[in-house]
Formats: sequence, structure tokens, C-alpha cells
Amino acid sequence: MKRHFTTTHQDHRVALLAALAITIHIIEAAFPSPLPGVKPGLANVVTLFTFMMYGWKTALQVSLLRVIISSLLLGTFLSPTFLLSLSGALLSLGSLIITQSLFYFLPQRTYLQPSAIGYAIVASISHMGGQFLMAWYFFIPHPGIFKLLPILITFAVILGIVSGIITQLTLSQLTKAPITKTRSTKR
Amino acid sequence: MTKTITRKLLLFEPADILILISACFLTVWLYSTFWFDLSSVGEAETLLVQFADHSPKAYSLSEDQIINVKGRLGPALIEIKQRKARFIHSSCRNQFCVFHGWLSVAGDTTACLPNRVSISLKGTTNDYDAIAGAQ
Amino acid sequence: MQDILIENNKLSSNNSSITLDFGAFAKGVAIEQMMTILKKHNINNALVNAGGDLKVLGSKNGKPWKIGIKNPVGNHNPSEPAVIAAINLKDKETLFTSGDYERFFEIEGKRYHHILDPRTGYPAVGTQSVTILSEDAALADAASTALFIAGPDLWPDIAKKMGVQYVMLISDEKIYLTQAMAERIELFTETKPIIVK
Repeated sequence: MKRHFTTTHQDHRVALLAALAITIHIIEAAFPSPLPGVKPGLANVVTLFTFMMYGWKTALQVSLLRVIISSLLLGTFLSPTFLLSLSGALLSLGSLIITQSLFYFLPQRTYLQPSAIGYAIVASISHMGGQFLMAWYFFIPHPGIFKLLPILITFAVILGIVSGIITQLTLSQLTKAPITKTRSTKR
Repeated sequence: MTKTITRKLLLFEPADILILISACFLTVWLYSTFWFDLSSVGEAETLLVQFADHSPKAYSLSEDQIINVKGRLGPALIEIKQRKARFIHSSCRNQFCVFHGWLSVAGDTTACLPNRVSISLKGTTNDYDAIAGAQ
Repeated sequence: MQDILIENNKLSSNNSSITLDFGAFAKGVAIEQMMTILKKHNINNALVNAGGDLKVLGSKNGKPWKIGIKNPVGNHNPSEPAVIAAINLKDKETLFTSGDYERFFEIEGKRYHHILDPRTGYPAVGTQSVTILSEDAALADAASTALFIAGPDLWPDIAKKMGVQYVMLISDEKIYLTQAMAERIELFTETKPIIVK
């Protein structure tokens, strides 16, 4: 039986966004971080952008591809770093979905719905929180590391605002001149 | 067109402000829970040194000494002097534990995560409801 | 013992130099009686501390009572931690300790403490302290003295006979624990405890 392997438009979009996210992820990994656990998280901008532009299913695909392929390229696949990265990515996407459904009950007016900045803060905090709990549970089961949590979350909020502004800027630019000829699914 | 983008950039939507305020509350709550736990503040009596999830070893703060601990990456040196304690050497890359400086109040903690060694000060009497033992 | 007469549940002696010291279990009996008084007054949460031997009722605002156990060598050596272990006590539990570091005197540099070995008439040797956790204060008090005299070799047998499950015995800087005690106690020492089945 002969099977044809065809790709859809959606596949192309996922591939493009994932490639972008992977590139940013790997460039970021090359820079030393000022504090253990604190990274700008620019790769999450791509996830957030995808989420707001094309919905959570696409964002999930892009995010999983990003985590798995980056770790294969960096040689950290299935290592602690990989697990931290995966749990952070999944939790932040999960919290984006929850936030969206919470605001779903409000009238669909722009000022009543969070912009990318609000979503980015939520994503950043839950990304940090997910990684932290994972690190605490599996690698450093010592109550002392909870002293680090407030500092990490402070950074998460600040970096969340920054990446939210970047995402918002990208969205504003792209909704005016879309790269792909698809209907925006942004609500 | 530039104008609308700038406006969108700098102006948070009311929903964003709501999220940001909740985030600030969360952060303040975390600080108050993990940094200003008043129950553990007091005169420090003992230094607890812990490696990974092993049970902590206790040292009295009343005697000046240098403690050598074997960490995951290598040795760590902890100094007790004038009822205070600090890391003076650690086999980790970042040396955050050494830069943290002196611990002096009960409840103070610093940890070297790469080397998995943590130290904290305990106020013996404050921690217990009673001390058992012949007296 | 031949100087003591037991008649109609009463003790007497013709030898005026005989004194009986019930310190080995009197404190335990006293604590148990105190518990009856507390219960009569509907007090459900309490910690009764009789100079280092104690019993708890209920909890401390819903949390177990947290008790620190004094280090028997901590008294003389400041480099040793003052507290050797911690344990959480639940309703009705009692903690009794016998140690050679409490009441003693020294003659010519030799220390004579207050727990005498009936086999020799001299202070029992080989043990620094015994801590017992039980629900019966009188039993715990008696057992802590008995196991102290029994020493590091014989104590497991005596503990079994007396029906005490939670024992910590410190001897020559070695720490012996029963399995049950090892599961509850939190030690703050470098020495690894010897767990006796």
C-alpha cells in the first residue's frame, strides 16, 4: 500500500514557528544566566504569540517541538534541564488556557480582555513556578530553596512584562501585514 | 499607524492591570511567607549544615571553627565566628553561597545548589515547645 | 533487702539508716496523676514538663508538640550541639530520659552519678542517657532507669520485656535506636545511629 505524505498549511506554520522558537531557545542557552533559573525566556514569546494568533493547539505543538528539538540539539534530552524546560513549558501553556477561559465569560471587548502583556505575566510566573516545583521535588528536596522562590517570581513578573510588550509589538505589526494568508483566530 | 502601535504598547488594558496586581500580591505573599517567617526569628544557637537530603548536622555557634563538608562537586568550607556563620569556600562555579556573606539570625539560610550544601541558623530554644532530658 | 519488711501492703524497716528512693518511677506516677487532674477540668491540650520529663495532651494549636532532646555531652562540651534530636509528640505521649549528666558528684576526678546498679551498688556504667517514648509515664520512667542500668548490650531484651517500643540509648558517643524510634526521631548529629530490631 502506497501512502502519500502530504503536508498541510498548518504543518508549515507549526514548522516555521517551531524553527523560530528553537533558534531563540538555543541562542539563549549560549548566554550564561545571571542567577540560576533566571533567563529572559524569549522563546516563550513565540509560544505566546502562537497562542494568541492561532490558538492553544498550535501553541502546544510549537512548544513541544521547541522543547524536544532544542534539547536534542543541545544534548540535554531527558536530562534534568529537559525535564525543567518541559514542565515549565506545559504549565505556562496550561495557565494561558485557564486564563483565557476565565476571561471568556467577560464581554469580548478589547479593554476587558488581557493583551499579550497580561498573558505573558501569567505565562512567565507559571513557567517559573513549574520549573521551581520540579527542581524542588526531584533535584533539591530541601525546604531552604523556597527562600529563592520570591526572588525568582519577582524576576518572572518583570521578564513577563518585557516579553509581553515584545509579543504585543509583534502582534500589532503582524495583524497589519500577516506572514501567512490565514484568518487570525485571535479572540 | 505608528501612533496606534505606541499607544497599544504602553497602555496596559484594564485586564492586564488586574493580572499585574494579582501577580504583585502573589510576590508580596511569597516574600512574607518565605522571608519574614517571624516564628523562626530570634537568637541563633546552632548552625545546621545539610548535604542533599541527608539529615542535617548541627554545630554550636558558641565555638569558632571551620567546618569542612563534602558536597556533590567537592569540598565546601563553612566558618563559624562570633556566633555568625558563612561559606568561605565552595566548589561551585557561581560562588553565590560565598557572596551571601554572614548568617546571624535564627532562620537565616543560604544554600549552594550546584554543590547541594545548605546552611541555616536555628534558635534552639525558640524552636521547641520543651527540651527533654535530665537536668 | 533483708532489712525491709513487707506487711499488709506496707513497707517498714527496723534499720534506721535505710531510706528508699522512688525517684526511678515516682515522677512518672506524679505526671500520670497530674493528667487525671487536667482531664477532670476538661483540659484537652497541655504539656506537662517535670524538669525534662514530660507528657503531652492533645496538640499545640492543631500541630504536634515539638520536643528537643538535650545532648548528654552538650552540658560539658560547648562545641557539641545543645540539642541532639527532635521529636514530635502526639496526644497522651510521654518522653522520659535518664542520664548520668544530671545529679552527680565528683571525687578525685571520678564522677559518681545518681543511678545505681543493684548488681554492683555503684553508679551504672556504660550509658550516658536513655530516652523513652510511651503513653504510660510511670512505665516510661521506670523503663528509662532500667535500660540505663542494663547498658548498651542488654537493653533490647529488657525493653521487650517491659513492652517499650520507642527507645534511644546513648553510650560512648554511639546512638542506639529501636526501629520504631528511628522512624519518628530527627537526629542532629554526625554519628550514624545503630538501629536495633
